[in-house]
Amino acid sequence: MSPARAFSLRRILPLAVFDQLDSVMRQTAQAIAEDALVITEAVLPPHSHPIRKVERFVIVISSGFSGLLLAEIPPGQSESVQSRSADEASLASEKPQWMVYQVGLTFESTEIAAFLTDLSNKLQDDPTAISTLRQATQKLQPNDATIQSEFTLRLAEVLAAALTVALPHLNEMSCDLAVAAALQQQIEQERLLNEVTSQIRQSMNLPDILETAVQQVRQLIQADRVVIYEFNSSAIAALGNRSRWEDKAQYPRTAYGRITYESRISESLPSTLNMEEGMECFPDVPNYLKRYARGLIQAINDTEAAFALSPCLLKLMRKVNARAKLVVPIVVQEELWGLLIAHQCSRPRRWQDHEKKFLQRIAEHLAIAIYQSRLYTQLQHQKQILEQRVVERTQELGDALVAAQAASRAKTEFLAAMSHELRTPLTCVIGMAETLLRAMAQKTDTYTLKPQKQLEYLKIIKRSGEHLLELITDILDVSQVEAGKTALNVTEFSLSQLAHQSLQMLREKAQSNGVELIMDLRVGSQTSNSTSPEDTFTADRRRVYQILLNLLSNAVKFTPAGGRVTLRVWVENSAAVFQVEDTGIGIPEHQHSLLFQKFQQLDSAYHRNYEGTGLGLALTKQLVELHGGTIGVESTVGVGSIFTVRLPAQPLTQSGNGVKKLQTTAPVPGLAGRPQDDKTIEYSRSFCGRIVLIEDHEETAMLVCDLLTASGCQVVWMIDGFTAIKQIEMLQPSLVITDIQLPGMDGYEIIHFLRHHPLTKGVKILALTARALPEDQERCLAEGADEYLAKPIQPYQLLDKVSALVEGD
Amino acid sequence: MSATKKTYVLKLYVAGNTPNSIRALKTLNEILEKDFQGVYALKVIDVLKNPQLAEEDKILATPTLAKILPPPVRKIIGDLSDREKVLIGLDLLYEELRDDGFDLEE
Repeated sequence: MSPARAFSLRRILPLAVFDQLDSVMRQTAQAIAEDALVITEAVLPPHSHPIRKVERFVIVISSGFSGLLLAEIPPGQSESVQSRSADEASLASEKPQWMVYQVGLTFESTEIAAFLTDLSNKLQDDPTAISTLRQATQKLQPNDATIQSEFTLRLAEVLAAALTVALPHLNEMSCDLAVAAALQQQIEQERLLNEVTSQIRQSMNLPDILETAVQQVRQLIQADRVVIYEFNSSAIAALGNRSRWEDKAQYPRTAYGRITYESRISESLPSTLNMEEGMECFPDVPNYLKRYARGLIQAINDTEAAFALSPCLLKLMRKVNARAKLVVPIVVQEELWGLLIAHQCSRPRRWQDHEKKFLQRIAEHLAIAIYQSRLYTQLQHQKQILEQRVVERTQELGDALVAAQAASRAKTEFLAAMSHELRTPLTCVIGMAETLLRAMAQKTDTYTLKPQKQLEYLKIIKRSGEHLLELITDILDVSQVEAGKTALNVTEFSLSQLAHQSLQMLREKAQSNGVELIMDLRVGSQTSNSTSPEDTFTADRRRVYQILLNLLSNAVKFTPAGGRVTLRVWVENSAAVFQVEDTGIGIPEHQHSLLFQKFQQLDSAYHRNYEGTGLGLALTKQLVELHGGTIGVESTVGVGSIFTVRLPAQPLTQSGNGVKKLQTTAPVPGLAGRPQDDKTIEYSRSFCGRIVLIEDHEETAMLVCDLLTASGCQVVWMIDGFTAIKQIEMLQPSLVITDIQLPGMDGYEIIHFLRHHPLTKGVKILALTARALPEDQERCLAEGADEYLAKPIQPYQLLDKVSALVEGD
Repeated sequence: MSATKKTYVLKLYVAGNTPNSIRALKTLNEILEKDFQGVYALKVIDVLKNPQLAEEDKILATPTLAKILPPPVRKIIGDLSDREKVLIGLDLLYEELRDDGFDLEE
């Protein structure tokens, strides 16, 4: 027999309901009879096993109403959980109200009797109890219908109450469901966020990140379309601080940006990719930009309603089929980068808070990704620049190395050539001087060297010295011109005189080489004493002289015996043209470009055949260019070469610039001028007077003393400026030549003193300065010098100036 | 070099601008102006300023006048007030030396 069948009520109820049923049963029974018997589980001895898993029970037995109410552990629940000790049993009423039991209620006498029998089996040690139970069993009879129905009503009441109690419980259940769903969504959102962030971490490819983000966001919030709108930063910058446009004319021509990423639920939705919104729809953009930059989230549940008053926007929304939209800004480094926009297309949609928050968080993460990607791009860019620089630098270094090697090779070759060139004349000088000295050391009458021989030796010494000087001057000139330190000393001079002087210079060499020198002057008068206007030319005479000498000596050098060297001079458009033609070896055309380079002799074999430093033509070209002129060459191998130099006349503007007086006197050949006339340095006239020289440099002083005494001047040479000024008063010289760079009292002070002292203020003063800068020269004149002369001293220049000053009185 | 224009190289050692020194220079100047026919280069050396030069030439007292060229080298010590002595010292009272040209300082 299944016990379940006998029960009129059998269901799972909370303990609280059981208690209520319990009290209803007792009340009903006690209402009938005072002696109603109520038996509960309390009658059981401690530590006894429960009857049929029954945790609690109530048996009411009275005349007219009997019943059994029991609570069993529901199936599936472990017994041990609810089994209790004796102590716990006494606290039964205090069991938690939420505990649920399988509650059974029966009024069947047989069922009650059977339970009582079971109970009495448990109470066998207690005969009183057993007899009571037996009596009770005997009392059992079917219940009185009225009482039964009354009880049922109360039962219904209790159960109804229990249901109402259960109802909130049910609500709670649905709440739980909602919570669970929300939790589920939360988890899903977190998952997506995680995905997005992990993608940001993994990928540096921003397009990938953004593309994935729009797709996943769309799926998660179940929107029809999610897009990213990217602002054009330059357009934003152009907005400036404007808060809004007052009239349409001010609307910018270019869009603020465009849609760059899109994810649609299906292909049938119109694509908005690359869309640039109509400007006229957003007159309030600057304001909106500011608000977006501060993090404004715009949620529009129904565009039809929201934009009812903005037909333009409404049209736009209809075009893209957007019924509801949610806009969150993407702010990168406090600067509005773009917008993340979700669209609901077919229907309005109420955007939930959590959706807004979610979109916002996605936007924050995207901002980080964008920032990282931007940094990464910068880094890449810089890396590329650096790499490129490294490549360039390496290239440059390589080039520099090659150039340096080439230069070093050229220098080595040059040095080798130079040492040869310098040693040859030096050997002559030293050898000859030694021979002469040895001869001198002997007594007069045992002279082994005839005066004629001695003279010859001295000539050789002199010529070698001159050659050395020439070489050194060339080198110094090249380096000076290269350093841009050479300034032109422009004077007026006679072209014919210069040409004669140049030819004169080379006559001896030409003779010894068997080369004929021909002069072809086309500048009017050829006599040196009268000058035609054409003959007068303004340039740096010394430099032009150098140019001619270089060209002529080259021509002589490279022309074999029996050949001819012709110098032509004419004036053309106020430019002097010098042409040197030879019948020499000629130059192959492909070497013409090398011709004017430093240290280059065209064939290194020439080094031995033809003496020279290889500086001549390079220097010549520099000097010509210094005058703003041109130099050109025509040459045929085996026939000869023609060098043509064209020099424009130089303006004679510089104040204090050299001798302005036309040098029409007989040529002043200087020391080297007439090598064949070795006997003296004789001048066409000798100017006399007492000259005081203040100079601390021994060699310079010796040179000046020699030059001046040779011209018949008396020279008093003083080393110290301070000593000198005292004695100049007494000596009353006609000229004072003073160096500027002196120890102690310098040249400027000496000039100043002399000019401000009554006894000396009329004396002529010539300043010598090693500094050839125009400002130094200006200062000399400003202090009161009559003239100045740059070191190194050129003999003819010195004599020229001295004679001009001495005779100028 | 012509015989009438013989070149002399002279050195005058003085000690600062003392009266003796100035007098010496003055006297020398007069002699050179009046009695001297050649061309001269006179090097005035202040031994206070350039003691090393004086040492090289073994000058013990100032003023001292030294004739370097033409040889032989002669030194005249004192303020040059004895005019004749100076002229002798400068070989001006003698015939010109032989004119074979080249003299060296050794």
